[in-house]
Amino acid sequence: MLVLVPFLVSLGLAELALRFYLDSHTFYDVEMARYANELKRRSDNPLIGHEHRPDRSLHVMNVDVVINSDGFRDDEYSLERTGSRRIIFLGDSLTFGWGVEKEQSFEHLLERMLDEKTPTEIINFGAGNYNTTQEVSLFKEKGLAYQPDEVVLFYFINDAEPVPEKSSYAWLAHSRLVTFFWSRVLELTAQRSEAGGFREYYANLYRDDRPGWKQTREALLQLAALCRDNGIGLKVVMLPELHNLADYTFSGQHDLLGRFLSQSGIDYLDLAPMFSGQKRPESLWVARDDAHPNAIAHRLIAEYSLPFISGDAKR
Amino acid sequence: MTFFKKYKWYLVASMVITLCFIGVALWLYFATDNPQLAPFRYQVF
Repeated sequence: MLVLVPFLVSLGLAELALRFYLDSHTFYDVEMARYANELKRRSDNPLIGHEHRPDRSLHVMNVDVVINSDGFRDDEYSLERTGSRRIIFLGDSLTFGWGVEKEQSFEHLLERMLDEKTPTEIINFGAGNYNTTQEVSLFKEKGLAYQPDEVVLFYFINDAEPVPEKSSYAWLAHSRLVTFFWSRVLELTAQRSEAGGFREYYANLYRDDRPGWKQTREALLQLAALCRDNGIGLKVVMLPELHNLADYTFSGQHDLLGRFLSQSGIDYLDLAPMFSGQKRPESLWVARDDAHPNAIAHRLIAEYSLPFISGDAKR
Repeated sequence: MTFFKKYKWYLVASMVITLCFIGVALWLYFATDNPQLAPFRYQVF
């Protein structure tokens, strides 16, 4: 038993040393755990699962994140309409702008680009780790009250995951050391076997027997009906997964979703083919251990999707 | 001196455990220093 004492002391020292090191360096999983612990809370709505804490801010993944009083990474917007065209962006961490400053996010860039033509305000409902079911549930709960002209849902390959339930071991994520260790073990598993890697994991989400994919389709139909009933335009933009763009890894899954959207009468744009000329995908990443889009990729997303989004928002 | 004699095996064992811990940490760090291969995760655990 006595032997464990120095071991525990060394664990404590390692935790302190890692926290000191992380003041000037980032590890994706550690940053995501900080985001979940410090900016998120459990939602009363089980279909939303977790949501942003209002009026919070955090320096995470090297950028400042400020959450407004309604729980969004955006400026304050009144529920009452101004004279501007109003669009709500639904999405996950990519729409949220993970790892980029707010001013560099495609949401902000598109708002500026659209505003040059017609006064436009875009409200960013993007939240890290949301799937389509959560995004649609959030829109039902909060979005309708903003009376938007249009909704644009930014879809990423992992949005077909089932709604996550909070793990009973989540408290362990308060330790940087434990988070770092476990995340490295998972990365090692991904290295050693296809099953632990992103390719097989994402592709498997779209098997017919997977509940998340079924829930995603149901949520999209629900959103389409909700928008139709309220005279709101709806568009879907498929964002690319940034590992292999020249010979896109998930073109089959994008085609599958595209067919479903077409059959459901939902207008969509697939951005993956527009990124096929990118020979060095890692140059578009936030960090070496984080394939979220960086500022360059956000600008490309904004430029490529501008003609599609600037189309015909209903008033 | 008496202290070291009395706790010799205790000190050796604790040093071995601590060195193993540091070794595993460094090995994990360098073995996984590659572009991200695991899927995005909300919860690590």
